[in-house]
Amino acid sequence: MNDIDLLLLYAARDEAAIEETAAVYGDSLFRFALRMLHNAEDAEECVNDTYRKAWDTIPETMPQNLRAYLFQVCRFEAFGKLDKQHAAKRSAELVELNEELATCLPHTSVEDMLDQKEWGEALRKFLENLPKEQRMIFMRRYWFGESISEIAKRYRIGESRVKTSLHRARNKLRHYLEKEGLT
Amino acid sequence: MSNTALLESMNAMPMAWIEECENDVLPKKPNVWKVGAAAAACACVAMGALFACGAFQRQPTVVTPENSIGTFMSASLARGPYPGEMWYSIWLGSDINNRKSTDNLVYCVEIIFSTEQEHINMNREKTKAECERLAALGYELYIEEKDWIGYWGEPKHYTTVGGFLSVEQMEALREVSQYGCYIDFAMSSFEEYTRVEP
Repeated sequence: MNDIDLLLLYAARDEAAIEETAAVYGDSLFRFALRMLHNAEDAEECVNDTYRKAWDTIPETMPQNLRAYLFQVCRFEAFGKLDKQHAAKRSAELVELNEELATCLPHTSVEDMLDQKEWGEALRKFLENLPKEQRMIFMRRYWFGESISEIAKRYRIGESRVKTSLHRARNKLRHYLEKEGLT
Repeated sequence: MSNTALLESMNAMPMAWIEECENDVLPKKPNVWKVGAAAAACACVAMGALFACGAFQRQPTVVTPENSIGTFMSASLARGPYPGEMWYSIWLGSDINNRKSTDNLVYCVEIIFSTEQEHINMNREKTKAECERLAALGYELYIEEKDWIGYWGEPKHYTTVGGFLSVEQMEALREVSQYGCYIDFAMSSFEEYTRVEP
């Protein structure tokens, strides 16, 4: 079943939409959630929440790309779950990723930094001007939370190229934030 | 801020970027070597075209054809003289009959008729006659049969007159010449010319 058929089911308020979505995107959403939550049960729950959210929002929100929309919802849900857990239980890998990204900021304490909204907006503006290749690698790393080797394998490039690309992107981001007076 | 706050704030990234990440291949960047090679090839073609057009041919610097059918225009077009024309081309450092001009007081002179083969054949007798006439006036001149490669690589053979002239003889050449005078000084190298009004 393709995205248009699925969206038609959502629009018709046919509950088969959820089953069909699970059949098409269930596996990849589960893997995505598991990467962030590191717990199969939590990941399963996160994916179910994603379906529910999709059911609630479509067709009011009619996504042009259902797959991308589901991933966005799933990511949002996963972070929501992380917030509910105790800080120590959070995925060490995600914390590590966050710290990697925080190297762009000169402040030692994250509390001193911008609020999330400001940061998100600054990041969006920065990524807008990044070359497509660099942005894709950046998004794979910090949005999808993929490892260096996963990104290299996906795009059939060397790990060193991925590392170099990320390193340069972070440097550019640091300069951008300094230039904009956001740090 | 939580210790995943920076990642969390990326939730609101545009959908288009998430979509573009779904591609299995990265956008192709231009191959620097290929671009360089293409540019070099284009440059070679351009240079070749310019060369074929005669842009790098020696251009005459001084033409004083007062009594010549040939004009400055004909010389500047870098063609050989037309039938009936004769050019006198004087070069420093030229090698004629195994002799070279060695200083500014002695010049080599070439008397060249048209380099078109049919004109060459037609003008061979004229060349010889002019050489004999100038020799009688005290000019040291030699008939030369030359092989030459045309612009398009075609082999040519033509008859010229080469010789050595003093400054006075050179200056008098346009007066005594039956055909006019095309004087072309190459002072040191192929690229450097000095304009001299004889």
